[in-house]
Amino acid sequence: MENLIEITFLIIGIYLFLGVLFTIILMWNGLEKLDPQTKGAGWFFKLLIFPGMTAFWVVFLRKWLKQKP
Amino acid sequence: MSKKEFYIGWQGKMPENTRKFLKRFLWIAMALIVVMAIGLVFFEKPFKKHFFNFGQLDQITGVYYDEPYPFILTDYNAESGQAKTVLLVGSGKFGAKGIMDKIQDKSGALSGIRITLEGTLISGDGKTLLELTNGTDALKEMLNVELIETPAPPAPENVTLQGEILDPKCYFGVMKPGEGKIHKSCAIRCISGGIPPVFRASEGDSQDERYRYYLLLDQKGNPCNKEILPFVGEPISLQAISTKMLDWDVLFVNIKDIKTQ
Amino acid sequence: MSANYTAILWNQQKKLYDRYMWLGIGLFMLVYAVFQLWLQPSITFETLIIRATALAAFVLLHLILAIGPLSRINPAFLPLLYNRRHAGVSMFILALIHGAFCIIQFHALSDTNPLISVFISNPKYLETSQFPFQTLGFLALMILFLMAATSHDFWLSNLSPAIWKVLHMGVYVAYALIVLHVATGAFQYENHPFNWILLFIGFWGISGLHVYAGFSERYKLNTHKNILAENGFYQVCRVNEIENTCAKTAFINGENIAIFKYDGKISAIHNVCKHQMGPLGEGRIVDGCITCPWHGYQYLPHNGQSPPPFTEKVKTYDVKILEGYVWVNPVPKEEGTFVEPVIIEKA
Repeated sequence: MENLIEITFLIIGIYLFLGVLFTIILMWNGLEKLDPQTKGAGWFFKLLIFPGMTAFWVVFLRKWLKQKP
Repeated sequence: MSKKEFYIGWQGKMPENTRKFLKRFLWIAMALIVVMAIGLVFFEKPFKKHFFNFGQLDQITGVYYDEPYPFILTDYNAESGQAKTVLLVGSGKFGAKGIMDKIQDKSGALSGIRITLEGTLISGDGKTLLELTNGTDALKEMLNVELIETPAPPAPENVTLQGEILDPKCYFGVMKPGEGKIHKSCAIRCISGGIPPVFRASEGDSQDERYRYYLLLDQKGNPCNKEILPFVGEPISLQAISTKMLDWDVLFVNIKDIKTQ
Repeated sequence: MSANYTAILWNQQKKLYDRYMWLGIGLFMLVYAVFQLWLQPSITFETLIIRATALAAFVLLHLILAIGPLSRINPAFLPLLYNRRHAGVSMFILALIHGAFCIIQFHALSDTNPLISVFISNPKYLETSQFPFQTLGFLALMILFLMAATSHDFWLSNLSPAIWKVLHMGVYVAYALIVLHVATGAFQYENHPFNWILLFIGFWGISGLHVYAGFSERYKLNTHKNILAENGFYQVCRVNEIENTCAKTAFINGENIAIFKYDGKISAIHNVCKHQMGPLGEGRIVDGCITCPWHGYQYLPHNGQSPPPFTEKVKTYDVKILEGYVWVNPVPKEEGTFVEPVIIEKA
């Protein structure tokens, strides 16, 4: 039981850590290409979507990979 | 053109009737909110009048003992043999054993020696505890060795009791409430961390709730923190041998004789 | 939407909305705290925060869940729906404070990692009254986090409206978890009938509103099974049954259609708004555009396109008028296809 919980938290932790890295990279470079409507959006907008992106980063990764042939 | 009003959020103004309707709704909602907030406080269980002197360090002098849990004896009266036990606990959800062991690594064994300890006082329902808030800095003074003669404990007797296992640190002051379902996990963590488990048995009736507190030990008189974790923080009944250790009642219990209700 | 994103697209109504919402939250917590300190002055600061935020969030959640059915029952509640997402995010923030304080108070500074402690300290998963209720609250908080984090319209287009809607239906799962969290947790200790009665009223009130709104909706929805059909066209209603600038809706062969009457003309478009699937047929024609009753998204009736700079498009349908009756062809046109509006001839 304890091990199961620990492993689950570890996996979620690793996933979110990768999410944070990915989000920082994407916001630095490439977000505007993925979604042109984000052009010119301010830091507060980026801050608002940051937490969600660390959770749903795989969606954007897929879009990114598709876009970069 | 339809006569019914049509609200559009991005327009500056709300249609008149809609505005009036919502204003009424808002008044009712606000009134309900106030009634609920008051009701929720009013029907709350009263907190115990226990006391945690948070942020205030006090010094207590007494004769130190390691077993079964670290404690010091204060207010010793040689004539009657009466003394007051102050149970020691660590900061957070830990017992005092770790800290006292470290202190004694430096100072040498302290058992039976009159010392002064600094910490935060916890007290309620006639029981006193001291949280060694500053860890190993708690030892302020080492005085003389002192022999304490205590009266012989009463003959052990078999008892069957109903009540709840609590962690005394939270219950006697740190948390409000420090008992029951809300606090159950915390009590489990505290007892797991070495805080002495205390069994609270109800006396008196529901109108006049009075309690009797027992320090809970295994049949040999040793700590049994880990073994009793499954029974912490819920109504239980147990069969045990009851005796006294100065001003504390003590139970020697076989884990098999604890039953959840 | 298509104009570029801003953090929050503030307008007069949203400001008003947030002002009154936080006034309510503030009033609740203030009254609660004042009475708490008056009647039970020995309460600790942590317990006060834990209880005030939990109760405020739970009450607000009930209001949030009631807005949907209420505005379906009476459109005068629609302004409450307009900025509901801010209510949701506010509720999440309150719940997060509650959760964080609880984890610190009850699980931190111990011999176990606090997050893991939430799940293992009390392992009585098979019992009702001793159930580890914290885990339910924790899971609910995670759902609320995912919803709050994706509340911006950016997410609507990036996750797709369908997935977004499913994700945000998670609020019902979260609500169920929280009801159980309260019932197996706090109310096992604070078990005064007043608390339980409130919980019952809340739960059955929300459930009842949803069932009631669902039934009345069903009654309103015209399912055209036994109606006249000719050359692919289905008879919907008399022309004069549709109020000017309003619509009649029809559900034919699985197509949800809104038929609008305006400027002496008739046009039919898909009844579902692209933004959050709002019922366009309950909207109006404002400034020549079909306007969604939920958030005011607009579409031109003759081609189902949002006026520039916006880019939303919905499906359109062929309509005709025969002897004073409106007929519609439920085979949809490509989204945004121009369909010549039918001119109503004066009888």
